[in-house]
Amino acid sequence: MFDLNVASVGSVNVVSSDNGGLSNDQIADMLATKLIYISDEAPDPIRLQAEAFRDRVRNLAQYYIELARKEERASICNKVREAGQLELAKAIGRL
Amino acid sequence: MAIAQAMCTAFKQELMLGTHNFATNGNAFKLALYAEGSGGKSSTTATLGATTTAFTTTGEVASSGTYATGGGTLTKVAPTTSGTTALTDFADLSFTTATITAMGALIYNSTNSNKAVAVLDFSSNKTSTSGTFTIQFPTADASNAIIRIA
Repeated sequence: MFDLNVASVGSVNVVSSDNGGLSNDQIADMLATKLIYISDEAPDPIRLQAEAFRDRVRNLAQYYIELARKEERASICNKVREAGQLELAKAIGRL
Repeated sequence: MAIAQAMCTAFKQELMLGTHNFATNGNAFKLALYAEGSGGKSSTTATLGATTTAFTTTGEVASSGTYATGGGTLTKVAPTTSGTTALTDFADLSFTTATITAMGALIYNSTNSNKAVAVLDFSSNKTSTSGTFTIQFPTADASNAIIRIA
């Protein structure tokens, strides 16, 4: 006899933004949440240590996301400047 | 509640009938967004839950930005197991430059007559205004994955 004890649906996380895309902070939070799951029922010492580790991962991710965006903007800026669109290149550079 | 999180009962039956194939080269699955109150198209309100059997346009949010009626196509992650639990997962889904207010979502099989899989309840209205609306799926493990059979 087959006995399926549980058929469950997980909880999704909705992240949204206004007048533009997601921020570095939002993306870093998404990454940390998905990468490191910490059970509410974990013993305090383990949970606190895991939360501290997740914070470090989140902060590191935030830094590199910001760097990646900055470097990509620099590459786009350069291509736009090469195409002779100097004002547009300046506008992108100010982002 | 008009939108109640659930694995659709018909889906459970259809699993036994081999209706749904979550393999990466299997069926296509989509996610549609729904509103409560007056957020849906034509001011319709969504009623979704365990008894939902198929995709419906009633209460679906209006097209905006990259969100088009019927919702977005999900990128599947091949089903796997963890301990005694079988699970499957999807890649996060984003709609950009979109003005959306949604209270929940429906995952459905667009290959097989738009049959319902699961209803997702966001608990509260989630809003984007000319921005990005992202649905992040939970960690794909035995305790959290979006679809689990233990």
